[in-house]
Amino acid sequence: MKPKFYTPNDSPSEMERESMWNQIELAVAEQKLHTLKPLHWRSFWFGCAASILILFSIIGLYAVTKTLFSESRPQAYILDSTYERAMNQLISVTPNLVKQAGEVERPILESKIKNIEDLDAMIDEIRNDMLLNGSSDIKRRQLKRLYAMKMDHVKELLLFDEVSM
Amino acid sequence: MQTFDDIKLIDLALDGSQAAYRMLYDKHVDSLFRFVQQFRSTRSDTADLVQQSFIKCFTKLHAFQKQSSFKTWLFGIAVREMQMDWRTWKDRFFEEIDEDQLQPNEDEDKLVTADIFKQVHKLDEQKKMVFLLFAVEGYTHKEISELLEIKESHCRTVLTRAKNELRNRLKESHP
Repeated sequence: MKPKFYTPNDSPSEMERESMWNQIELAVAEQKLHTLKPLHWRSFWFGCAASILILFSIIGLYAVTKTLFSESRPQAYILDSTYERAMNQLISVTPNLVKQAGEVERPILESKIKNIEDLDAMIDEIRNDMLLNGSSDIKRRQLKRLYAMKMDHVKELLLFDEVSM
Repeated sequence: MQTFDDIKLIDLALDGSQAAYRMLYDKHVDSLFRFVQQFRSTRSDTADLVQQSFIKCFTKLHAFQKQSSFKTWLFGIAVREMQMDWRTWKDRFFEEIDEDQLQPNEDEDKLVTADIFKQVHKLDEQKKMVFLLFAVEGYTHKEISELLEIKESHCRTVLTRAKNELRNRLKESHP
């Protein structure tokens, strides 16, 4: 049998044991109050790396989706955008026409501009409806007609001074 | 070797169970107290050091790697607390030693007897520590080297020195 090195006197008494525990318990409780759950640095950096990768993936996905959608837009939508851009460019010069017009011509020009604005409002209304409730043949036809009417007005506006001369 | 109980208690303690802390304390306080008692002149000093070691151990419990046993880790903390008192004891004592100068004696096994235990207290603190960890607490050289942060070969050398010194003391006391 292995001889025992320690004597019973080497062990702590019940009082010593409790006294030590009381201090330990206080220190542990205090530490719990002052510290949050320890940060696991390796997990933290893995998390950061993963977040960056996810961010890049989302950007990539967004770019690809955008390209695909733009390429697959319906012909009607492309035409619609083209009409819109062309007419906006034409209308952008109308304030100069109004300025240059004489006292007699100005009310006529302003009335034509008002007509164009009314047509714009109707176009917007149909386009919003198409966005919200989907497109249909009737709606597309109405839109095309409104664009045609708007073009007529813009044409009249641009040629007004020639006609009046 | 890590016991399942200790691992489970540590996990519970980390989850906030005060009872788990208490159980870990109850399980290891006696052995740590007895060990530290061999190096302290008063019981009050021993209690202070044991208490401090447990506080450090529990407040850093999340850093415990579970590669060594909880007891080894706890003893390591206590030893480092004692080393702070001895300051440069490692530099002074664990210098490179030519192991050839210290050949183990064939009678070494017979040295672990009750008579020798009486002489252990006459060893200096460093030799006494290595001897107690090896012969009384049952740690391996590898564990002691990790615990004291020294090379395994140094640990063997210090133990051989301690045994040689004990052998000489025994010869003097029992001519």
